[in-house]
Amino acid sequence: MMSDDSCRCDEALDRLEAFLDSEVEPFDADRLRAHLSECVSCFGEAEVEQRIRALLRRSCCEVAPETLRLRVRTEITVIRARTQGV
Amino acid sequence: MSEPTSDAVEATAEPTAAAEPDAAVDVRDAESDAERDLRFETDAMPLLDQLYGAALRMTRNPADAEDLVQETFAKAYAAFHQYRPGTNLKAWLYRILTNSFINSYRKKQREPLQSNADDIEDWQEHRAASHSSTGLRSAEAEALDLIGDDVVKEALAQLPDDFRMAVYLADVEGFAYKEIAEIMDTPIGTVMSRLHRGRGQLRKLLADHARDLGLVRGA
Repeated sequence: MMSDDSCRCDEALDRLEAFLDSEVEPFDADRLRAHLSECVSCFGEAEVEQRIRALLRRSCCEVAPETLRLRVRTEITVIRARTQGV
Repeated sequence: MSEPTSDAVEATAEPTAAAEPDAAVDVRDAESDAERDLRFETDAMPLLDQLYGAALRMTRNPADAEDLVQETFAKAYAAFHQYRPGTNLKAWLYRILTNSFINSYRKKQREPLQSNADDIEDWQEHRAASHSSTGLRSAEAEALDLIGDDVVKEALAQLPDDFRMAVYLADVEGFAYKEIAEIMDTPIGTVMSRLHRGRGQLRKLLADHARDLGLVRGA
């Protein structure tokens, strides 16, 4: 799509999300990576996006209550008994 | 709770596998009930915590989340013979979870959060511009780390269901666009639109919060 090989800010920003999601083809990913290493503004943008993702991963880590685990096991036992005649 | 039947599990298209398992060898052909039960115990049960986390984000309510997870695992167990070993089990389970949520819970919610019709063309035009308009300057990225878990979860909860789900599947669970499309049963373009808009809304909420806390200079 670009007439030359280098990646400019408008393209980098346009594809930044897909790039961070690893959904960009290797050739373009390399071009984007090169641009990010040279452009403070776009690099900063990528940094914010990545921090938010890390924040989500950190915050959304949950452990299921033991009571839920038990309920699930119990129901599975019931289903097993009905379907396998155990 | 009525017993789920395998029919209740929507005829799931096989989740995309990175490498197609050898068609000649399907573990299911020769295994006994007990062996399949063991496979469920070993492979599916360990994902309960993650599915509970997802259910919490979907229902925004611990009691409903527990019910949703129980329903999901019951359906998954009843239909486990339909799951092809070697394909993406997590995606298969998430498909059941998402379907169950849409069919059972979203209808019951007092205030379901709906998004506008996905305006794909609109967002593609404004994609680059929107990033600079959220107000969170790159230099203050460090402020994000100071935001507490509860605030993040609260911000997520404010997103419309579809946006929230897409963001959760991508950013917390790391599913690919294609997998998210299968889980949510929407085209990839819609997934990308929901991701972009959901992340944009989330970023604005977090930026507003950081500003309120005095973590960043007010605009």
